[in-house]
Amino acid sequence: MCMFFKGNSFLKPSYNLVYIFLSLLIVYLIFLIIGLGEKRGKIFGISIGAFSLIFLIAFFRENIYGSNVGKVEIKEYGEGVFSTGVAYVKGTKENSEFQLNDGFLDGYGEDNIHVMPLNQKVLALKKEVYHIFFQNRDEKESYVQKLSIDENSIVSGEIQNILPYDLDNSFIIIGDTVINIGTLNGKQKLDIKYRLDENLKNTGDFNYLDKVSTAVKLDDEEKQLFEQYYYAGANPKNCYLIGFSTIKDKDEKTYTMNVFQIDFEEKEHLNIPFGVICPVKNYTKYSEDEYIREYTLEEGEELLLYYPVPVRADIESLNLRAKIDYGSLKIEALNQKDKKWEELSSQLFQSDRVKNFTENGPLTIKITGKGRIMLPQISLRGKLKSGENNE
Amino acid sequence: MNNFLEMSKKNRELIFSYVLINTIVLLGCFFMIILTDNSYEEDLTGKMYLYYSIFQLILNSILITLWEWEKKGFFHIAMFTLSSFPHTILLLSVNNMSGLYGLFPLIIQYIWAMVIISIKNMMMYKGKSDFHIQLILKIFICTVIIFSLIFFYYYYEYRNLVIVSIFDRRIPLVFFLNPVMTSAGTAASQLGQPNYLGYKPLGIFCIFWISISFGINILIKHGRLCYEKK
Repeated sequence: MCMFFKGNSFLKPSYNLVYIFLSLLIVYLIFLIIGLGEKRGKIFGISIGAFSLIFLIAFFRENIYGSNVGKVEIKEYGEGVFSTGVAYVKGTKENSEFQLNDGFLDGYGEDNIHVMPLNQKVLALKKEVYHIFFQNRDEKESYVQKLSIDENSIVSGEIQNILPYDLDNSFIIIGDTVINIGTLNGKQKLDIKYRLDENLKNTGDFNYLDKVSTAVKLDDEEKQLFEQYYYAGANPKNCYLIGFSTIKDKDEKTYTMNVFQIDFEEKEHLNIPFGVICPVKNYTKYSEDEYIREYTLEEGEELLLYYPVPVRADIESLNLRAKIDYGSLKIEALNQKDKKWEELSSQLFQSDRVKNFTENGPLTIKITGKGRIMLPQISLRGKLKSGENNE
Repeated sequence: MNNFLEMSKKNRELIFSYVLINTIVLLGCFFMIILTDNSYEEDLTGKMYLYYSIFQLILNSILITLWEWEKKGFFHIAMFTLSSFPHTILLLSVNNMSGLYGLFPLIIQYIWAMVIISIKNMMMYKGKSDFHIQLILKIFICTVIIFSLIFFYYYYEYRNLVIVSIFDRRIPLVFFLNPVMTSAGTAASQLGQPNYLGYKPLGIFCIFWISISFGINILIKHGRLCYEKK
């Protein structure tokens, strides 16, 4: 995880205080100029002594340097809180000890460091910067935020920054739509009413990340964290609120990408927009490159995609959208009733036939041929089956 | 009581220009660091502290040749060295180092300034012209600071030394009579470079130069007595 170079910059001094000190130096010079005049030798001598003392006191009072621990983490608020990240620990002297208060610690096999996971301490043997991987898990509460989508694809509802501190550059991603929010103050509630305009439609991985970061104006560090989260592909539902926060404690500075999962309120009708359901991929070839929204197939290769469809849904219409970048590809869907593959056509998912594809398991799509494809995304409309809630 | 704060105008101007040059250099350094604020470059501020302490010492020894000796001169020179203490403190706090570390460059600078001033006093007492005083002082400073480094370079080349840090075991202690070597070595070991010699170089530097300046001062006093007797 060498990507998190933000943590390193945390271990550097805060330049605002340096500016104050530098302006104090200029005041010092002014006093010396005053002391240069005839019969003002006392002012001169006293100002030298006084400013040395002022700087010494300021040195012990104000900690320019701040902390010796800088953390960069991705924190997911869903059913519980799960955070993972890297702590940058700087040994200021030999054998310096740090209290990290994190659940799982790993020193990455670095030399000259002792990680003590039981009392959550790290002992740095030398004056160096060490990287320590950490993870936390807390499953006590649910932090899932609720929004609702109506028939006209308008998202409405209220989101709240449940944290006591500000979230910078926050944005919502719902499927193929990114909504820029900006800064959310601590505990701030925000009403949302937005028509899903699908501004990330038919994008591959690179374009997707690029479009999101230009829409939200993410800076380099934020973009890196978002990329990290995106490629981890941990979220089965592409629906979340993201905001960045910086906490400066006395002992440590923490830079966090907060991810709040968003769920849809259950109403009578069901409308799941494009891109929300992330397909589960199954491919025959081992690939070093990681693809999330696209795939490049080679001759004789076969890609299977499974789209988990809500169990209690009574689907009336299903739309499928894909973009073939180049090559000739054959896209088929599994008819689960007859157990046979049917080639994709405009009549395939007609309202009376949809159930054949989704009733007895996830919607299964098979792609064969040679070429590059932006993975098919589906949107669902229908009704929720009322009544029993048994799984 | 207040008498010791009174300095001649020339000396005050000297101190002022010393502080001014130091401030400009420091502003320039910080400007450079903030402009090239990339997180990859490690320990830029540490290098700054090292080079700045050397710069301070050289500037100190250039300016001190113009110093006019007055009554309570020891105290005035202490004020001269102390006048750039804020700069050192700023660099120390940027590097997250102990405030006590700032005393070491101050001590080295003070002792070195006292040595130069003692030699100047001795020559003044002998009635040398201003031109000769300046000439001899400059030759002395060049010999100790620059030529000894050149000798050290030859020594390093011909002995095929392998040197890992400034305070290395393989460097003869004589070379640490050079204030630049001692100052740089102290700063480097404060910054975390391995130190194989402990406080030995600093001790040798202090003892040697303090005894020299004391000797010169005693000579001057003794000489004055002889002169008055005649």
